[in-house]
Amino acid sequence: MAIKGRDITVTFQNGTRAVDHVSFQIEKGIYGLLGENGAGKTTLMRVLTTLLKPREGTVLLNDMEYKEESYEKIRREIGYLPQELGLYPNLTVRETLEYMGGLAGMSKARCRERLDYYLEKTSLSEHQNKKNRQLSGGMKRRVGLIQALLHDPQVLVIDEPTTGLDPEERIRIRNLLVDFSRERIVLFSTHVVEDLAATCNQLAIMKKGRMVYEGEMKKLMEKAKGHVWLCEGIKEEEAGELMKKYRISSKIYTERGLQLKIVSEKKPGLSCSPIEAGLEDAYIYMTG
Amino acid sequence: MKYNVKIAVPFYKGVYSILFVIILAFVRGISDVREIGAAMDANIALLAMVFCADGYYQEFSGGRWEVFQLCPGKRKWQTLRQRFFLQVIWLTIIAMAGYFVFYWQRPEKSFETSDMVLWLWFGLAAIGSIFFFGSLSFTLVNLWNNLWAGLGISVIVWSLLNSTTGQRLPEALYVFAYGGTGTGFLDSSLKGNWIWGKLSAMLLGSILLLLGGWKVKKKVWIPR
Repeated sequence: MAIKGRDITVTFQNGTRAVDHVSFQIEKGIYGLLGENGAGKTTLMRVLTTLLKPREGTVLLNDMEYKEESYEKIRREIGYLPQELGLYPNLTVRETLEYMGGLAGMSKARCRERLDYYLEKTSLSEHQNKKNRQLSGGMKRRVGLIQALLHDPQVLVIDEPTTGLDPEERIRIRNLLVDFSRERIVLFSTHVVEDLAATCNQLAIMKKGRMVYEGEMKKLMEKAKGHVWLCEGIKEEEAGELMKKYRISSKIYTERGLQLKIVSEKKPGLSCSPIEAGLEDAYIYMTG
Repeated sequence: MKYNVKIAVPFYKGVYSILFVIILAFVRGISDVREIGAAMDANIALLAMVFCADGYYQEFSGGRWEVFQLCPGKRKWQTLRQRFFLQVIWLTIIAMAGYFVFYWQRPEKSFETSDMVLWLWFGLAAIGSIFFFGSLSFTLVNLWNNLWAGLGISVIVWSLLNSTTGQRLPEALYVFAYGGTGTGFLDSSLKGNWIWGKLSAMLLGSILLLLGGWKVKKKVWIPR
């Protein structure tokens, strides 16, 4: 089970190149896609779900090439939770999911069986008769997750599932993704670094349509090793200079003055010492 | 089917369509029973345009288009067709029930045809208008992927047809022939020639629907 992308390029009508010659290989498990807003993550996800046809490049799902004639077949293997999924406000959770299962071509019996399983798994059983408009943001995300999983896809594409959620709900969604990734590919995009650190081993970093890193998280951290510095006792004026010159991944006021974490190839100053790189530092290092 | 009823005819649409017919019966003066159908025909078409326009568009405005787009083409079209026909049925029921509200004006009756026959004929005429203008706005909104463009063009078509320009069309091609023209308009609904105008409108409406279906199955729209 794998998705391979080669030289994918998406250019919009206004000339914006949203995805620029991107190549990758995604295998079973969770694969994270990290990048700032506007980096091209959603566009790439739309390509992978067949919603968008790239101008150049090829995509293969289990060696089946993405072509219009094979879209229906590919779509059966894909579950998608977009960044903002609106749910029918007049329907209940159960009605919505039964409706979507029917739309996906599932038989009523199979749909009900899977629905009961996922409602239980996502702790939504007790809320299944609530109208969608009565749900909290986190519950809506969980309903969205069920609709993506209902037809048992091999590939689950999830676009920023934790945006706007409280910490408890974020952890719950992350854990669900981990559970659901055991038998399938889960492609999970976010700009929240902690979400990836807590869930996946493989990731890609996108910046301005390009993939600046693709591979294991461990190796990404290794790349940033020796390039992250902790500078303590910094005065305000000095901090201003440093902030102009370097990329700062954290800034804390302490009793001894300012404490800055700086990502830089070279040691920024005498009061700085090297420290272990976190994923956020590695991300800053790669996109700097 | 029951879920599509909730989606195609939500509570607010049910309320405004009922209010539309009630208000129409109060503001549109009539003096003869034969005028009721004529008074309602073009106006119910206007209501159908607004009512049916977002059968598919609501998937975009409601933020569901991506998931909807990934469903099999046949299923998508089946469900949208079902929504459309449910809306046509609802509007026909509303129109036929609203017909009786006009009786508060105590219209005169100076002809032999029974009120029931007249009402049933109106029902047929209303289906033709609702179907044609409903499919027109539904399809145009889908073709342009823009609610206001689709509705705007539909209103222009409606205005042209509901004017002296439209009345120049042959009766067999004129969707509002039921309402009649000129001095003999009161009798036109009794003659039955208008049925051809409604049938040709329904044929055109069916072609428009097929065009809309082709668009739904084929085209992917990425909003900016």
